Amino acid sequence: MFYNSHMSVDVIQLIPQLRQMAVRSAEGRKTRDQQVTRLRRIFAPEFDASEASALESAIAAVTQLSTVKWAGARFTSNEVINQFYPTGTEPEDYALIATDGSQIMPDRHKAVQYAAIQAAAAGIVYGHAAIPDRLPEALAAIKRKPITFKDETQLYDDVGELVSPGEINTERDLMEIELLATLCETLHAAGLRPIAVADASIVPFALLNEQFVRNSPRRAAELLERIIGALNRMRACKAIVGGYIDRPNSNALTRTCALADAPIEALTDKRRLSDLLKRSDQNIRGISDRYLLEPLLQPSMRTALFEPTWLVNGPSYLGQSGHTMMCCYLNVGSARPAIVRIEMPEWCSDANSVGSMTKVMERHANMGGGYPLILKAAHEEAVLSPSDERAIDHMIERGMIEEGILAMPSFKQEAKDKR
Amino acid sequence: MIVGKVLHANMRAFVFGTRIPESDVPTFGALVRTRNPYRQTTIYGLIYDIAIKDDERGMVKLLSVADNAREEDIEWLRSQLIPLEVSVLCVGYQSQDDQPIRHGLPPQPPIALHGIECSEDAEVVRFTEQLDFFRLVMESQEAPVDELLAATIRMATAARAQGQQKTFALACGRELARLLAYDGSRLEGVLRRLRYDLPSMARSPRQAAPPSGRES
Repeated sequence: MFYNSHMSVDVIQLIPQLRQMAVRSAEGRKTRDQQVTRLRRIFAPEFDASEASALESAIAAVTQLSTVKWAGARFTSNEVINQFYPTGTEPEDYALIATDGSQIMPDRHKAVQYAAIQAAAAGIVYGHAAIPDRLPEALAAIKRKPITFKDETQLYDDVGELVSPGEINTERDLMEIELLATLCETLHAAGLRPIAVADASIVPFALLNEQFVRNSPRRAAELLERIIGALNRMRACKAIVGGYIDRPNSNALTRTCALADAPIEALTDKRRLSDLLKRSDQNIRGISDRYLLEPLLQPSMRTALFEPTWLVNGPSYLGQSGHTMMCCYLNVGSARPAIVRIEMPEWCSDANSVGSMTKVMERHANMGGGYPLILKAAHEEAVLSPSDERAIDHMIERGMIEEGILAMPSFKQEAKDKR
Repeated sequence: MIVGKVLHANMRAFVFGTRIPESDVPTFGALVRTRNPYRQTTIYGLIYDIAIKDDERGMVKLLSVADNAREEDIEWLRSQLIPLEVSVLCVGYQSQDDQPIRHGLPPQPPIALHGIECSEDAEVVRFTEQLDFFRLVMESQEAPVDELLAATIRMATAARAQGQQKTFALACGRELARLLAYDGSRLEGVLRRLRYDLPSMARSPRQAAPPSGRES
């Protein structure tokens, strides 16, 4: 155990707990490894067609359950569950674009509370644009950075509560995808096929939360309208669109693997099936899809496409407009496994589009040292740094003083600033 | 065109940050302006230092070791706007648009994040109708004063019509001679630089020669 006298935490008092944690972790790993060996069985060549068919029946049965929500993976494409697929080929002429966002959260210790949300993009043109005259305009569009500023009058909801950080993040997610749609249109106008990549899921995090979708239907509908609008625009441009999730924590695939053990007779007994799912959820705790796939998925290979059973992915939501999200895992690592998750709308999830997207992402991840260079570039463009925040704070304070208002940060903020 | 935004400032100087193509970077000695909107003041300054920042994003390093980079990736990275920090010496201001330009320190420094614009030829001519800013430049502790003056005079001369260039250059020479009367060798150094850039001054060196017997 390493510690030194300059650390601000008294590690010594934590030593017993940390030791216990290490022991528990080792024990947990043993149990988990036994589980994982069993779960991985569906990817083995011995997993035959009859077993695959039984698994499909099990998936169909659990998705019908009304008492338990099963957050797993459904294999609805014509790809085979226990088969891995190579990345495809990179198109000759295309424009690769990525967007990212950044925000400054409201802070009650500041002189004036505000929020700032910025989206930005990076783009590279490969090959030639069919309409080169329109290219300069498209490239100039990539440099534009939409920014939303919310002052105190816009930061409170109808009941006088300060908007949550989640709301600000959702707005950021939407700005990113809307910017991506705008850039797809501009690059399409220059005669280029856009390959558009979002940092993380294309669907805003709020909409992945089933409770939110059920309990706040009006707000969910507003968000859905914006995301569907952006996806419609991208579909109209024949873009290949994907969300790139680095170090994914999802266990949708693991849940599906766990169903392979379900006895056939349990599939028709709803109570037994519910109990089985509850038990299986406990057994797979801490086992992510990434962990499951690391020793199996070779570099440049991907899993079969699957459909996550999110509520928002269903026919009443994204599915209604044909935007059901399809996913696969891809190993972009070379020296060691780097399993990432790619999400693509149904309308661009054909083998060619998925092949192009996975190939481009793999090459960019190699160039970027494990994380796609294009996403790194978009992040650098979008980020609102602490110095940007200080400059905005300073301008606000100065503007207030000019208006005869002495707006000061809190004593706590002043104390923190005096370093 | 906005070429950058103020990063930090004091009464005598300010620094602006920019990410523009290398070809568009304003040059050493150029006259630039910004505004202090709270004072309705336009502040003029001369660029005296341009620092090219490191590629803080680390992308050059990443691409330099990538074995599957395409030519388009390299070209794209080259076209990325390099971050620059440009230092500017405050030399004058204009309180209102209809007021004359004053050579001196502005009543307040520029403000953070306000835009910087390069002065066009007409504005350079207008600003350099008087040469009182020479003294401010000479008092600077940070700037390479002699080089800065020479560069500014060269640009201000070039901004004028052909027929006015010689008169202006000679006026500058005379002003320098007056200000550097105590330091003949330094004056000679500045004039040498000017003669190198401005042939019109080389033709009549005696008119701007340092006064004899007053070297310090």
